[in-house]
Amino acid sequence: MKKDVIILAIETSCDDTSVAVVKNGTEVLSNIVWNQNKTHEKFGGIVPELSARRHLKVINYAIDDAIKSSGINLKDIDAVAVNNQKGLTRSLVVGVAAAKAIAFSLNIPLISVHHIEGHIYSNLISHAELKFPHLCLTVSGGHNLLVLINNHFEYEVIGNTLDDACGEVFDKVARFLNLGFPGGPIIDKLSKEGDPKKYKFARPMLDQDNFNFSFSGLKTEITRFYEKNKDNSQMKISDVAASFQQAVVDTLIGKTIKAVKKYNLNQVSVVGGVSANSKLREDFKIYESKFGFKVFFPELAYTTDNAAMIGAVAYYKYLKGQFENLNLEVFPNRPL
Amino acid sequence: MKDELKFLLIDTSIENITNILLVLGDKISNVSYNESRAHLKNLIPGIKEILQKNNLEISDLNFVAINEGPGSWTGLRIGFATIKVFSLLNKIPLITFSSFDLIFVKNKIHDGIMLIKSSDTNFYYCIVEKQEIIKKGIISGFELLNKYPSEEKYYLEEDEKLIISLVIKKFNDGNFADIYDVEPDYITEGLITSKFEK
Repeated sequence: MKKDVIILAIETSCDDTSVAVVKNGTEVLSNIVWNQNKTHEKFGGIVPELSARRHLKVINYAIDDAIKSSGINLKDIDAVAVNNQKGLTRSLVVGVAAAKAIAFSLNIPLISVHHIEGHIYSNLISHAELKFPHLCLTVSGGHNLLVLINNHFEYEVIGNTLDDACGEVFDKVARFLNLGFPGGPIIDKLSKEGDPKKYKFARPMLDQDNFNFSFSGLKTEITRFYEKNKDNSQMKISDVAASFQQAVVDTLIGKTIKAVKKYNLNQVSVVGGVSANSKLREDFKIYESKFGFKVFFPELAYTTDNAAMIGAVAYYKYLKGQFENLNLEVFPNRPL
Repeated sequence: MKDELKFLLIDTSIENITNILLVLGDKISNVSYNESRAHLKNLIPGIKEILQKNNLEISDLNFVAINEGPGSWTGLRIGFATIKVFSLLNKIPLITFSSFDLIFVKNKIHDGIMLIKSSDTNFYYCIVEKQEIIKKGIISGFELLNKYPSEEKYYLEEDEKLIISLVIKKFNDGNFADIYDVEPDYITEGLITSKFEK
């Protein structure tokens, strides 16, 4: 009988401290997330130094919780995995230092994972039917890519953001409209009360013959529109939010469908924090049958930053024996 | 053989120096790296080297100790994340010591200002009155001379033996850090957020 592989995974790229225990890449035995939204709320964005301090403050709680709630013993852990690529340097180092201390204490292999790779694999946790090759749209506050996933660890980035990532624009627009932080879930909720067709904002770069994104101009359009109309009693913030959200959703879906057609793919995986957006999920479903593809979304718990997805990737690296030395460092800007 | 204390003592408070001491009773081994921003890279390999030379594992130690600062925030965090995990997984106590403690004890200060260089122009300072710490912060050299011209000033000097005796005393007193909540002495809480306030 094949031996189970149990991986303890750590993710501290931004403002969430997450530790998970994952068995055989798909069975999540625990996935602890210490969210920092309250810490950063009053600043309307993430303060890197505060974020790093918070990671260090809670790291032992998160490790302890992840192990205890998974029901495993320390000696059951086969490897420790950590995101050391893509994120805030100060935040990443806390997770990597902790992971190395675990690997050394337990004398087990250390596995490094790219943050975006984690998001790509987040969809494999619950969707065994998602096969290679497939198209992956990653949408979050830190990245916004269209990637061909040809096989395990074979990625071909065909589209990238030229400026702000999609989730970042949600945060910035929400802050500008005085709606709070984080912007994604707030705008999603508020948009349900608004008319998405009320205002026709731009669908950036949709007519261009490439797969890149640029949401910075849309952000400026919204802020200018709001400045001009804020004293107009006819203008409802929920309509602005819904119309903005629709412009983003149309752009993401439009670009994705172009890529589906060009590369003749029939499976689309949408991952990252913005993949939790209810309108994006709803609208993608509408186009499935029309364009002959099937769309997959991660469970909500695995849309935002989480360590389970790091453990999912690490399982396949474990099988290939891709291990790191204890002098591992962080690479905050390394592309996928 | 008499039971001798075995412990690791690490210092990552200075940006370019990773210092690891292994104390085995009267015997002291040391591994030190002088490399800018390389705590993360060198700390665990250094600890591994020093322990392997002595045929020891972390779980063989009586405790682990760390300089809590003040100093390089990122450096301190790398040291703390490492040592907190050691303590958690190996179930051994964690002891912290402050650079200000060292100055204080070494100079038997009654009144005065303790100073640790933080950059080319600034110092971490700590004011002592009647053997009590009344204020800590960060100050420029210029401001220091203007504001505190006549106060007695004390600077940090290396003293390995004193550090070792301080942490052993803490161990014997059962003065352990909380391995969950323990943090470095960042000192300048207010400074980092002020520029982000709306």
